[in-house]
Amino acid sequence: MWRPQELKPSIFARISEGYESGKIDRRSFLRLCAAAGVGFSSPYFQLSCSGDQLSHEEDKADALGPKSAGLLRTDQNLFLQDIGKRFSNLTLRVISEDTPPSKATIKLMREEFSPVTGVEVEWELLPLDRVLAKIGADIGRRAGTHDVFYMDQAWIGRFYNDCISPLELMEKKDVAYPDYRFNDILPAIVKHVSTYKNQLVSIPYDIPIFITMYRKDILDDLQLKVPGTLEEYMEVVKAINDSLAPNVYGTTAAWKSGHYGLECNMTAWLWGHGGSIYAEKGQSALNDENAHAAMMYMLELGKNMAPGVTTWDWYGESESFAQGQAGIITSWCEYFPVYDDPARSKVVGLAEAVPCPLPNSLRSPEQCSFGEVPGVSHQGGSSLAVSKYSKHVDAAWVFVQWATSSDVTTRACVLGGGSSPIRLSNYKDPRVNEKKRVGAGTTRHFDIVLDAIQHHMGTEPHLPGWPSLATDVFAVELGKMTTGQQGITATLDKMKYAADSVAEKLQRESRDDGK
Amino acid sequence: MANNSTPGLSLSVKLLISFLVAALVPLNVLLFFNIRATRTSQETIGYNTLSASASHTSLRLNGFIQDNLNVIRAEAQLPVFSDFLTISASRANIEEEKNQVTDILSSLKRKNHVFLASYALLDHTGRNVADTEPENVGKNLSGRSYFLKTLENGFPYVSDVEFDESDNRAYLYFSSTVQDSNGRFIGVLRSKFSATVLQQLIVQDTGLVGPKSFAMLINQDHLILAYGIFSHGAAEKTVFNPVTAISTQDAETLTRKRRLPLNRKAHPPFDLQALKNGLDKVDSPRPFFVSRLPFTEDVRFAGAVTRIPNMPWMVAFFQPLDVFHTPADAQVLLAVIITASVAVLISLAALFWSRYLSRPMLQLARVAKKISEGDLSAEYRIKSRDEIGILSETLNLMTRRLRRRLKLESFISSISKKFINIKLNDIRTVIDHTLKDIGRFTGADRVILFQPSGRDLKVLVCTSEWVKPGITQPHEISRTLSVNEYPQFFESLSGEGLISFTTINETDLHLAAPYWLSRNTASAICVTIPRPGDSIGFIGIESIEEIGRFRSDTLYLLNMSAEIIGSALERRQIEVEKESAYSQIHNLQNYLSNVINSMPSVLIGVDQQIRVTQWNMMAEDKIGITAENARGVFLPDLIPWMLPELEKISNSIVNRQIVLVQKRPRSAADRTCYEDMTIYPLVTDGKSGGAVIRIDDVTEKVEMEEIMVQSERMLSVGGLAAGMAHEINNPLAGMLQSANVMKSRLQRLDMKANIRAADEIGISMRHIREFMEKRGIFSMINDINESGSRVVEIIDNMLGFARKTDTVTSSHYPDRLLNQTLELAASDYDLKKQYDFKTIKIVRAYEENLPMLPCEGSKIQQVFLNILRNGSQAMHTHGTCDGLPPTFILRVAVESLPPMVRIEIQDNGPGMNEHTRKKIFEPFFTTKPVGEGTGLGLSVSYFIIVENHGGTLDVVSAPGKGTNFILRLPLERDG
Repeated sequence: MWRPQELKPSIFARISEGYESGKIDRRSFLRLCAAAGVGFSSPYFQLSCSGDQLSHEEDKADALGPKSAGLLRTDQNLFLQDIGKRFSNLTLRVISEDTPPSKATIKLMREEFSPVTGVEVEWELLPLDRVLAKIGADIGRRAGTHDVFYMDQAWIGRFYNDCISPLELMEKKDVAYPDYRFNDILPAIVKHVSTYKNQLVSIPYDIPIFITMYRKDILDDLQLKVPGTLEEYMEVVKAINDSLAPNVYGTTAAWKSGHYGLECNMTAWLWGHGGSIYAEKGQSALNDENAHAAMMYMLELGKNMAPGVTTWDWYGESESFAQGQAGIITSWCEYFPVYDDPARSKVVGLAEAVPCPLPNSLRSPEQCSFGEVPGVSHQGGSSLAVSKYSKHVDAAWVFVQWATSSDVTTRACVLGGGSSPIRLSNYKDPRVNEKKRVGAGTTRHFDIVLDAIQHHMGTEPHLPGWPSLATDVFAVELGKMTTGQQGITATLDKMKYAADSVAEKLQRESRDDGK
Repeated sequence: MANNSTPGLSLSVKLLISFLVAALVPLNVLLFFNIRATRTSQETIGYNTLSASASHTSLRLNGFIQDNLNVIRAEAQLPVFSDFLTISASRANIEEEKNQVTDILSSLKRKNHVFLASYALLDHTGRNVADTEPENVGKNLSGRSYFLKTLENGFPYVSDVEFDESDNRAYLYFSSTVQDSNGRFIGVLRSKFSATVLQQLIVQDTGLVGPKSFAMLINQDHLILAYGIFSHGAAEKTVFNPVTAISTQDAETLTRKRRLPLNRKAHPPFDLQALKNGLDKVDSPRPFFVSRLPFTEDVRFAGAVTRIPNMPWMVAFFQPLDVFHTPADAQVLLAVIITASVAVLISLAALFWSRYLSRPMLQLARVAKKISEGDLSAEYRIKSRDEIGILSETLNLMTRRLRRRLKLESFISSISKKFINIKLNDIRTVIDHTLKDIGRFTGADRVILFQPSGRDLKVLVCTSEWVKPGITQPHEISRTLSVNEYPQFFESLSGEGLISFTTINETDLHLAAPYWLSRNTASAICVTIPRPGDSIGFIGIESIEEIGRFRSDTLYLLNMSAEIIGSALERRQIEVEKESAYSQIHNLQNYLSNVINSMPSVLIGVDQQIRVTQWNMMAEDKIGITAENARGVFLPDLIPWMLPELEKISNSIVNRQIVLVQKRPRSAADRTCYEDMTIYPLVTDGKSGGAVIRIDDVTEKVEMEEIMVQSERMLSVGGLAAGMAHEINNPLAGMLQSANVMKSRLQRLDMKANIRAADEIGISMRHIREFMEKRGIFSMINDINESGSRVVEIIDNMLGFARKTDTVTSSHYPDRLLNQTLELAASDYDLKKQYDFKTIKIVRAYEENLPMLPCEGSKIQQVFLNILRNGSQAMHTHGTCDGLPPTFILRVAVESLPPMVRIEIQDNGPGMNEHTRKKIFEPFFTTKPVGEGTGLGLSVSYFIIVENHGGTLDVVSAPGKGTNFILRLPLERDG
């Protein structure tokens, strides 16, 4: 029985680093992985564990897990080979957001899945809004252009009818991926990313979530304590801004008008102040005093940001922190590995991750509607769904299982630059833990991420009109507010009106459906 | 003035400075111009970069404007709008079409939800016929620029930023004409953008050219439309404000043009004239400037400005000057570092070369310094054949010569030292040693010293000679040179003082050749031993075999040695003479000192300032100060009691007169001394030269004279007393006898003659006696008897002064006489009654076996009694001096030379003062109350002892010390 703790952890990290940095080519990397995958109890593995020279072909160690399909004669490998006999020469089309784990998975797919199965996969990486547009077009046409599509958690209410339920797919024993262990996927993610109206719609794929990241050097220099509450967070932001702006602003954000990132940012403060998009019975709560306080808090934070923040989406937000222009940020955990990447960051080793500030008050999910779960750690998880209109459902399902299997998600996490994975086993995997140090693709923030997922996660309401509402209305109105075109009340009123309209329409449709 | 002792710069430092100046000055000049060029070029680059950024922002704004102009033009061509306007002009009920148009307008608006505020359709009159803002439908907008300008030009139009009176917010309007199918103008389509879109466009370029760079959008009125400043909140406070203050009239004009908001809040105007001036450069070739900006405190910014194509707006791009200059500063820093590195390299090279070039010189200098400090062993070898090498060799040669010379000087010095403090008797020995040293030093075979024989220089005798061991002396060497034999030689000696022979075969043969030939001399040098005016001989050195053996330094050595030896010989002569003179002077001094010291007088010599110059032994004894300590001291400081005599001494010196002061009294410790002082002025070379003071103690003489006077007085008193006694005794006897008879005749009743005489006159004797008694006649007669008796007693005492004429001398033991006197005193009524003599303690200290004393016993007892009585009286009256009971200590002893008996009677009474002590032996001197003493007791005692017995009577007494009478009586008496 393989026990991960018996591994010499440095081997994985060094293989990964070597591959990432280009010191090891893909073929060598796979050979190393395969060699180690023969069996950790074998003399060959023992040699590989004790070996120090990566260049020695005989001393290969592996980033592959023991249940990797990339290893010969594993169940997974055999499964894929077997499946390949059925689907060889078949082409699957996949679309997803252009994210590091997706890129990593594509690599693994090309090096492992396709060679083993013989299934070609055309994987299209696009920005999130374009993914939405294409999926929307595909679904609208019911063309089944994409066998597998990427689904942001915000879209699930819109597309849940266009996916094949994983539960249904899991019934297909002949295409069940060996040792898939669906239960290993973090339940909170399953519930809030892949589930709509208590139905499992898709398989969780990644889980970006808000955590708080700060510049330890700055807080130390200014003798500031790491904030634990929203008030402390504001004090720290102001203190940094007062002391260091314009060289370093207090904080930063993705406040580009009309961008979804602006809405995501807003919800964190909204939930933290006891507000929510919807209250009970589908009524919007956006104009209550909690929401008002949240907007004031948000604009107060804005006074401690760079003026260009109203033109930045989340890439700009991440970049500003990476360039050392902000002292603290509450945003996507995916940013954190970027900050430790010397190629992309000026704050390598200077950033630390902590849980988001505790909310002043928190509305319970029961007091909200449409599956909205208030929590400062806004989650932006995504999932992979098999299109209801796919013509290669089984192959697509095999692919989804492979892509979301423990081994692949772990390796995608490691290779993908520390993106947060979906399985509990990922967080315990030595290959992941080995990266818990300063450097590109660090995972040293994963404890905070896991804590956020399990305890502080905030989830937007899931309803079909939500993507449009969140982007076309909320992000626009919030943009007007942040650019000074309108005040808080007008903004919240318009947002509430839109939210209520969407809710009423949904309820009306529900009633109509009921009739 | 420069201090000569201040060390100057070393050669290496001078070389180093020269190198550095030659290299570094051009380098620094180069650096200076490089920095200037760098700064200029970097500044140009910076400004060009800012300009490019401004152009970039300008183009992006222009792109935004052009895009929207194109869009509005395209949208205006949608048939739905022309159809609607056509219909609306001809039909009243057009609600359905209007809603349709409004929906289309809303759809158009969604292309930019954030900043597109509204879409509107205006008919050809300017009336708003459809609007995404329904409240504006029906408004007459014919006066708005976007309507008028569009109609006027027929092209799509973008307005200035205008404030809308409905919400007093700024907007940017795009408009385009709507034409019917015939191309006729039938309306205007207008989109309305929030002016904040400009701010968003501007802030996107914040940081475009580096840290803290940003853009500013300014319109033709110098109103700030957008401000990308990095300082939070500054933009919203800045936009729609002019860069400089404007007049109220201008403000109203701008408000009417909608370029300023209605009810514009009073805002402190910016006073950014530099910015305005900079913006005015927009069309210049170098639209660059430096200015302060709103809400940036005192930070100064570099700026570049450009126009937006087809718009009256300008975009300026800024960067703080410190950041702006960072590249230049970096370049300058790099240049400075490079220059500094080069300078360091040059300095190191200069240091190397300066040391390389100066090191030999420095070492030479060190060697020279060592030489100058006396280290002549120092030499420096330089292999180079250049000037430094030549200099080194020259220095070494000089050093060697100096060494040789120094050795020579050292040798001469050593010779010279031998003659310092040399004893006269040792001079000859030292000369012998010196010749030996000269011989060894010069390598000569022989060294000779000739001195004149006698006072005239006729014959020279060899007085000293050294011969090198191993040299065989020729037989029968002549040790004399006579003038007769070698006249030229002698002449030469007395003339040039030098005779040098390099060889005996040369021209000097005629001088003393035979002599040298006789000594087998090959080379020789002779030098005279000089003396002022002439010479006292010569020294010669010889080499037997080597011709030309001696060099100039040998001659120098010989001359110096001759001078030293000559000096020694001369000194010896002088010393001999001086010693003789000193001896005579010393003897004379001793003689005079003995004379002076043997004088019994105090002799003190003083100079004109009365400072002691001479102080004889008597002065030492009398004054108690040694002559050594007294010399040079002001006389009164040594003898304070001479202070009153200073004037006399000075007068004596000045007047050159002898002054005599006789019997000058001076109080000593317990007595008065008498001195005779004679001041003798000294005259030296006719001038006053001080004085000699002679002081003689004449105290004894004075006292003797006083004693003589007293003795004479005593003798006269004795004669007088004898005469008086004789003359008085006779009448006194008659008077006393008559008084006794009178008393008897008046008092005795039974005397017959008395009775008879009484009867004759008819009176009884009893009556007569009663009368006499009543009248005190008897008492008077008694008084006459008592007084007469007293006179008799006085006469008896006075007779004691008379010269011994009929004394009866017998022999008595003095102790017995004294004891008998004590018994008499004890039984004496007066002593017993008045002075209670028995209470006086008697201490006897008699020598045993005292001899018999030839004396008049009663007289001696009288003397003892007088002394004892006086002592008893004094002890009784004034008490004892030591608080003990009254005591007499009696001592009797024998003195051998001369043989006398010494008797002391000492009491412990109060003692006497000086005055009393001197007077006690004078007749009629008494300290007792009048009537109690005659004042003759001790006078008589003195007379008895001294005159009658040839002894002495002295008293030793002082107040509080008691009194001791000392009697000395000769054991042998003449005759």
